Amino acid sequence: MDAISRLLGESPFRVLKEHAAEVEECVKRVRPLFVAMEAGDSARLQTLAREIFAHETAADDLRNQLHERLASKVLMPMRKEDLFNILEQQDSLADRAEDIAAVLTYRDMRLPEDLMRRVKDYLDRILQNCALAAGIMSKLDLLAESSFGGRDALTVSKLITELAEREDATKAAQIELTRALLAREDCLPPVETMLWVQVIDYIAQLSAYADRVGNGIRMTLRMK
Amino acid sequence: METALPYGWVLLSLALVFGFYMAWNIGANDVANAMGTSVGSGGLTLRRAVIVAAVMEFAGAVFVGSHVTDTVRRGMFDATRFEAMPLVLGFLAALLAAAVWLQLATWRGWPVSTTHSIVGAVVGVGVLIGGLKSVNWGNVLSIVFSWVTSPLLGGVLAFAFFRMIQTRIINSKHPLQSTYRMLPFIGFYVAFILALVMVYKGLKNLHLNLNLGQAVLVSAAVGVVAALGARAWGKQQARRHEAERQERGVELTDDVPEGIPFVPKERRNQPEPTPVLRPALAPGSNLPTKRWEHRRQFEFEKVESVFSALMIVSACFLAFSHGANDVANAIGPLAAAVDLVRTGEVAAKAPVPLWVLCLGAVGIVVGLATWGYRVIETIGRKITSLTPSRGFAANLAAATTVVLASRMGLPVSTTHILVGAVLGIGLARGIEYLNLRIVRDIVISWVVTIPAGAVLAMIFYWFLKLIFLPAAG
Repeated sequence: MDAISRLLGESPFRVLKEHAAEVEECVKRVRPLFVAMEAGDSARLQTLAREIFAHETAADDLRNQLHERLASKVLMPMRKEDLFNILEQQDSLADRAEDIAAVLTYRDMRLPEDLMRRVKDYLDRILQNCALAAGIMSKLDLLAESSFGGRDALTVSKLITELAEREDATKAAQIELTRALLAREDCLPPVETMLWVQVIDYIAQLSAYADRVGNGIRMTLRMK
Repeated sequence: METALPYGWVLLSLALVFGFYMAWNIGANDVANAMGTSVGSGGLTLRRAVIVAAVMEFAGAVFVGSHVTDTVRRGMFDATRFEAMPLVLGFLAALLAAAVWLQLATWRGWPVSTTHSIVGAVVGVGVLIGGLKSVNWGNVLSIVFSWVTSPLLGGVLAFAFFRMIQTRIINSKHPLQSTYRMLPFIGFYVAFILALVMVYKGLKNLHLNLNLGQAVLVSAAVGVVAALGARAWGKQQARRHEAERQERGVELTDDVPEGIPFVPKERRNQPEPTPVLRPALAPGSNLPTKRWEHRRQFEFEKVESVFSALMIVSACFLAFSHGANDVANAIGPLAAAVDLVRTGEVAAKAPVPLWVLCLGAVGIVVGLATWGYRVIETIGRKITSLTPSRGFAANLAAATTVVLASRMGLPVSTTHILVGAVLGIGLARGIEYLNLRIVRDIVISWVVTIPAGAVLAMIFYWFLKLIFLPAAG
């Protein structure tokens, strides 16, 4: 009778993957934001920003849905706390992308060319970390199949370690970039300088949350 | 048919109607458990599930159902301490009470066991009519004991099966090969147990009565045939999978996942070679696939598809076992009533008549076809977190337990055993998070059902007595 369907339930991974897809839609528009801003194309900038806002809202909706649907379920492939933790960190990624989009639309914040190039290089490094986190998330099905243990867990944990090391390394890069920006503060309007410091910090947070997603998954792994 | 009791034909008709109603209830509510997981994981369409379940329930009821039916019809009382007429009314009341309780539980969505209902009703009304001494407490206590041990056994077996699958297949280097290797053993096991349960001192209706040694030999032979068949099927699947593997370009050798940075050849001679990440592999892309994830995913996908088929086999096994065990819940009292009406006493040695078993089986099938399919669909829709490998282990463990209990003549609750099996898999980490609320719900329903069935049966008995035995007080 109903006993079995009370015991088991929907797999949470489907919604988790949909959420990840929405977050990906946000994150992948971040680089085009900078390209549009550099080219002075404010129409494209606005469009991209609007799209990011929309996808971030969609991600929030999915997150709330998941909270509701899983509240009463009993047996799941992973612990509820772990699942929601990963979800929160992933959601913050989308939030950060939204924040970056918002700041870039405040005013025309073009930088001198060499600074802009450094910002974009830094951004690329960060986005690589985000891609790595997304790659780790895509392994969830595999992990679930092997009950978050065994050889698959071992391999994924190597990936997570790699991500953590990269995140560590980007801290130094952030400080260096901010210094380079501030060194030129005489050439820039003061408010804009601070806005750029803010943007750089947001970019750094993208990587930090990516790392936390990886860490969240690491906590679900059981390795002897 | 001659009747030895007054109102014989009326009583007989009532017995048939109540019995059929009870069987219908069983088909409408219980069968879904056996089939729900297969439909949920996509292994079977709803229509096929219903057809398969119907066939297997019927077979189980007819081939192995007599043992438990015997227990329900005369195993719980010392029949000599009763007069025929009150006993008939008692059985009728018990049937009706159990069916009504089930209907109520279904309507309210409680996880109630058909077996507990009928046993509670029968024992309750028996105590009312014949007093405490008339009950065969030895048998009754061993039945109650089996209600505790059978879910545990289901859990232990499921744990063992899934651990085997986990260590030998999922965690192995080549899960797909390991699966093919395991197929013959699985085939042997299922066929062996089914055959053993049917032929060991069984199938008396077909005059096929073997002792243990003969039964084991025959069953082993059947098992070997099944093993060979499983191996052949495995080889055919292997060929298909190999073709698919080549078409999709999955390589089975690589162990380095994307995301581990590597320095591509072009850059190796640069002064500061910056590593790059391999790009994620897009599904359907033609890139040469040295991607670990792609390989593991492919293998797991195929492993689960093999288990999808195996799960259908295990669901059939479970439906068979369920038919064998639960048909008695409807037919046991009916058979007893028929005996009493015809001869004035509960038949001591005669086997359960085949037509009675068939009637019960038909009732179950009708219940399944008219209502049960909806429950299957509901369960199937709600459960998507049970992969075929887990579902297979749970079904196989539950089916083994139920069929062994049936062979021993013990009426057990298929639902509770299945829950035990699922929890067993949870313990084997097939599923992670364990909340004991459902176990609490089941224990509560357990504790409530038996007195409820008994009380209802006593009330109905009182009514029936008013109608049929007005002379008595």
